[in-house]
Amino acid sequence: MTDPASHLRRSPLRRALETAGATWRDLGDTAIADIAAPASAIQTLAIADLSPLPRLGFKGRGTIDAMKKRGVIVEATPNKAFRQPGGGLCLVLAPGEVILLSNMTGNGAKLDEMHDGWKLDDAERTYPLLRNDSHAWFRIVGAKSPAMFAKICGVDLRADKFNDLSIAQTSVAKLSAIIVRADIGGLVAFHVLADSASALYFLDCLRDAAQEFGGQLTGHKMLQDVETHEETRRHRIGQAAIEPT
Amino acid sequence: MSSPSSSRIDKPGFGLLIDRTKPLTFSFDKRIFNGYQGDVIASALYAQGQTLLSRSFKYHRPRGALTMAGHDANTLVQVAEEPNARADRYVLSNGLAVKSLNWLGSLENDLYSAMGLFSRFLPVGFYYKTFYWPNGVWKYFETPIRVMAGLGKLEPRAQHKYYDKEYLFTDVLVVGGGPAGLEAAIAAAEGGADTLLIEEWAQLGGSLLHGRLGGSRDAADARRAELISKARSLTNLRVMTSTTVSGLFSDNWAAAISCNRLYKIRTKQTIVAAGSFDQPLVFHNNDKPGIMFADAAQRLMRLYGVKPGSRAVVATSNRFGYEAALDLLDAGVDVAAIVDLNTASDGTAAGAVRARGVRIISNSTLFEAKGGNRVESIGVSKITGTGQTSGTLDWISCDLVVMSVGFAPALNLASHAGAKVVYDDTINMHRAKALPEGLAVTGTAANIWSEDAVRADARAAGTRAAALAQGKPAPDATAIGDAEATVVTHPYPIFKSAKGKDFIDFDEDLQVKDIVNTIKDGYDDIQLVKRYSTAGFGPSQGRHTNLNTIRIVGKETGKALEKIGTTTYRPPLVPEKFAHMAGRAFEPVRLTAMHGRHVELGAQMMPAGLWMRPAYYGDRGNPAKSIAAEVKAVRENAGIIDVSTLGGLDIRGPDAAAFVDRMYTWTYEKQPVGRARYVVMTDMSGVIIDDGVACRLHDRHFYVTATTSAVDQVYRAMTWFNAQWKMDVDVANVTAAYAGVNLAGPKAREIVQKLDSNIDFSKDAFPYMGVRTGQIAGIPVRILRVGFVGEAGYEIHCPSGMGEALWDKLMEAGQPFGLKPFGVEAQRILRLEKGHVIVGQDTDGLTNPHEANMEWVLAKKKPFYVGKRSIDMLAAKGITRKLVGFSVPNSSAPVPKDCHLVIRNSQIVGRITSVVKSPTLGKSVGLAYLPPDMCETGQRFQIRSDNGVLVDAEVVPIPFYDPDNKRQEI
Amino acid sequence: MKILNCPLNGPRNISEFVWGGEVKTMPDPATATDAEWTDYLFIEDNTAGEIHEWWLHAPTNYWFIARRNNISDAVLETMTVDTFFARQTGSAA
Repeated sequence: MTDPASHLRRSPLRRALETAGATWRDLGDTAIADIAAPASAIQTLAIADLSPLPRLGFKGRGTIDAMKKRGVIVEATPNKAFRQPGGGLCLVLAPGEVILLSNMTGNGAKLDEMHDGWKLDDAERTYPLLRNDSHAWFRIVGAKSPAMFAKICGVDLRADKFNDLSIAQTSVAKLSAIIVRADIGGLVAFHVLADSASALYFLDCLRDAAQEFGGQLTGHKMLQDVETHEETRRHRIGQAAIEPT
Repeated sequence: MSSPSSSRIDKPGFGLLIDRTKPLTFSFDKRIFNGYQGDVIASALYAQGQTLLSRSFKYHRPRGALTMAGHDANTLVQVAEEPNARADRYVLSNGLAVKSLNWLGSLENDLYSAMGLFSRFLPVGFYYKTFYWPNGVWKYFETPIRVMAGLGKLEPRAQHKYYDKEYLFTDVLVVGGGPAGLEAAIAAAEGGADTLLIEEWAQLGGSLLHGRLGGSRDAADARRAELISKARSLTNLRVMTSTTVSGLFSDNWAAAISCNRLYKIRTKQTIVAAGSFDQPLVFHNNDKPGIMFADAAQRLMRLYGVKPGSRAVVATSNRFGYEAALDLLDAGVDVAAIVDLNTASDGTAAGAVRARGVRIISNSTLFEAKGGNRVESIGVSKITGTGQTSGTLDWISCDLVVMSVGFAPALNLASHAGAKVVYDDTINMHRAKALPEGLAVTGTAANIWSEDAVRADARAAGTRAAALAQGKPAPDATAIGDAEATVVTHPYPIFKSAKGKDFIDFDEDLQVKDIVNTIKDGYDDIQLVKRYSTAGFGPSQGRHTNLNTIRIVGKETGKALEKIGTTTYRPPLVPEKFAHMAGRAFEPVRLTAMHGRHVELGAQMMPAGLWMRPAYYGDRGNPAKSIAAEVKAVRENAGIIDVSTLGGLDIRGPDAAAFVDRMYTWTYEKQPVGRARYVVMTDMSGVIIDDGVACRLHDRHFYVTATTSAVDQVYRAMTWFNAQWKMDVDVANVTAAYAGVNLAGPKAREIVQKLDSNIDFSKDAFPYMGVRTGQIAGIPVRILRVGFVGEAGYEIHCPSGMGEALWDKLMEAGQPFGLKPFGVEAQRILRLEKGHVIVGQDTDGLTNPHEANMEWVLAKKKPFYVGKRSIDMLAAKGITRKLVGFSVPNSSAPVPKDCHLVIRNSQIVGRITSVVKSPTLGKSVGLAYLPPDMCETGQRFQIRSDNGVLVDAEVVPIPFYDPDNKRQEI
Repeated sequence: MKILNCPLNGPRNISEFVWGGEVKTMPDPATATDAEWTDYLFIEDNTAGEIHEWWLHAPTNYWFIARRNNISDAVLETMTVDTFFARQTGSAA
């Protein structure tokens, strides 16, 4: 087990997760928490802090074109998310604003390249934003997640009303937040990005709202396993489709 | 007291809600009572003969169950810490400690009542008369009245309980799970709409639970079972029981309460099927315990298996009185007589009652009740005209009087939503008109009473709502007339007594003469009648009062009832606790990346907006000592303060400089890259709203800081202006993305130089007001050389995810140099020693830059910046105050405080904005607004300090400390 | 609670929004008289009827324009700032 404080980059929830029994694994330039939770948690309701995973924002009137130029799969449709090859998402927040979320491996090389390769002088009318730092990143998985949100958020996030890859930029527990539905392995699942400085408050709200549904705090590994399983499944289906029957 | 179970009915069909296998024990006024699971407090008490539940508000009259539906104030009790609980709705649990209210001595023998004080104390219009005349009398009345008329008691040591809120979303909301509501909900769900049915009782069925259908109890049971089974089979119909919709608001927004949760419901269509409220018969002593509405008696019997009495008189003008008589007979209660206000008919129920040999007295009314804490006998008189009787027909002994003389449709919710409520004299009831879009009313709330009409209308309402909610074509709503509505409500069941105590409002103890006197006092408009008499002001909210009040007003003024109008219903429909409204408190708290480190270092944290900041480091015992040590460290060695809460804005694009130039007062177009410049923002009227530093990181990139509390407003203002200006620039609020520290003090440079960095920190390479980007100890940073505290310093900003690491690295590097962390308190002193202004403390909501002594930050030649036009006008007009520095020469004089006033010739001429006893200078220094003619250096003035002590002060130049700014620029 | 239809985010509870005041045209500060300027700053038309207002969707910091009847409190229409100004220009031309 690694010491999360040995890294320069640390989750704003480091101490809270430690109290909740987290163990830490190195992941890129930081450490990420694993928290043991019953396997069933992911079916009903599980909450994980993904803040250590890479993400990057771009904003400015030329953003969508600039993203397309860099091979990002995206359309100028606000409040829609786009799955990227190899996992990861591109969230379109406005006609001129996106956030790119890495996949679960935590490999941020592509995002680093986009950040470091960007030049103000290029005058693309898009400007990077440090979403790793401005926003904490939570993953909420399980059938009960819409019911949990109903206690802290005024937008109807029920599974049949808020489709996969929809985005709601709204107020959650009086905090501005970006909610993205992105299912995994047939499970209703959400990403939530919210003010990093309020991360501890926000986690408290989520856990409190989740309590009545038996919601569990979990960690990166459990989600990664589900996602890996899902990728394998998709891959198999893909193969089956090509193979002549 | 009768034996514990004597009043329970041991027959099938009675006691639907209780489980007789689960006995419970509770206390009422410290006496032990038994009940069953499913009982409410009132039913369990009633079952054991405790029919006296409370004392009335004004006259302390004995009161008992009236509605058994939580619609009256008679059953208000204190349950442990909870004041004003409704005993007829509060579900019993084991060990509950219940207390009655509003008596002196005991409930049975209330001394207040014996003193008879209150009737003279509180004539109608008392509050108005006492508030306005004689002047000042109210303060003498207030305390005794609050004690005597007080309802429940607040327990200051009450334990906090968990309350929260939840949003619900639906296509169709149906309020009320009675026969109409169920029918409507089923139709809506069958129409494909996502439907939510909310019922305030624990069980669905409404009147089918306790009443009859077509005169038959079995038919009611069968219909209820059929409707519930149908409802359960529909997957798109959600049912919530034990939940009360307490208000309807704009755009189909409803509030509902269930236990400790407030639901906020967004629906597309609402159907109100809330039923009707029973209306009382008004006669002398009509408030005695044992006198109740027909459906209250039915609820006691059917829901809780409790006999409401042993010998009953039924006073009625409709079939419901006869139906209740049948139920009483079935429960084994003697029915001594039915007093029918009309000519008794031979309808289904009346015929059945007649067949069972019950005496029926037609065209008569009750005119008086006798008894102590419970009705003992009743006087019957012939009706001779509207509200008129003549002679005594009979005195009948009884311990129960059951009333059913009419109804008022429950239109409160419809009224909240904007419906008009008008009187319809063909049915002697109100009716909802001009329903707002998305609202329908059905069932008896819509004056539809007969079985077939209810079914047809509710079905149509449900089908129509489902179609509208799904954007499908829907037929127009058609009013279904119902002849039965014309016979359920008596037009004037009010029989004024010469002896008074003929109550029309049980909550406020209002008698017929009070309304008559109100009108005689000149208040004849219904809105004024209500406010002057307080009719309908009590917890019952006029359910049993409004209609009779309007009738009396009509009779007294000769106006038609439809012209009188009605009072407006406002939410909430039922009492809502503050806890419901507060819910689970959501109060965001923002923590900087270094928060954990501050706590570990023993910082005392203080709120700064939503943020928490260290006030100082050290124990609470001696803050002054800790603060002084922090100041000393900064002046002599080095200090480090977390400034992550500072706002940060990235302004990028070809027009970045031009945009900053328009937003701020100074000039930035020619500011070199790598330099920082002070910024002041004014609003359109020239008032200072923020300040900070603009760092030019690139020809097209400014990084501008803003104050903690104003950054959101500044960001909003910038985006608002640029929505109109359309400049080629992007503004981003990066406050949370950057952590920051200010490392300041004579040894600051040595400390940063210890760390690995690609930045040259030497004085010449990185001068004062320089800005550099690079890395320190592997952390990407933006560094500003600014001097808020007046020493050589580096304000180092880094991505907030690395803020704690930056803090750790600097603390480690600074350890050999005596580096100390310092908090907001020390910074406040340090900045004031340098005479730096804090916007919002040293400026107020009217301060312009000329007043703040900041002419130097105004670009005179710029054609435009926000506020310029107004500032030019204000300058031309001349200023009346100026912010100057001052010191108190006498070091032993009291230290003035912020906002102490400047006095000249006994007149207030200015005020202190900031003041501190400077540990560095050994005297008090501060900033003050003074009239322009008092601002010359060396001028003396007086400050009125605590207790009126006048302190001599002297205008001195700013900065107080290091006037030549040598220290910060080294 | 009222619903406001944000051109970017769709219908939302009004608690997510901040009122930004009635849309007013700023006179040219260089040529306006003092009286015209102070009128612009401090004097409201106080129209009873249809007005155009600035609204901000706070979670996204998105400004837009709503046309509202301040007698009935009915929001008649919401539109982007660009749409509003394009219409203004159109109607002026």
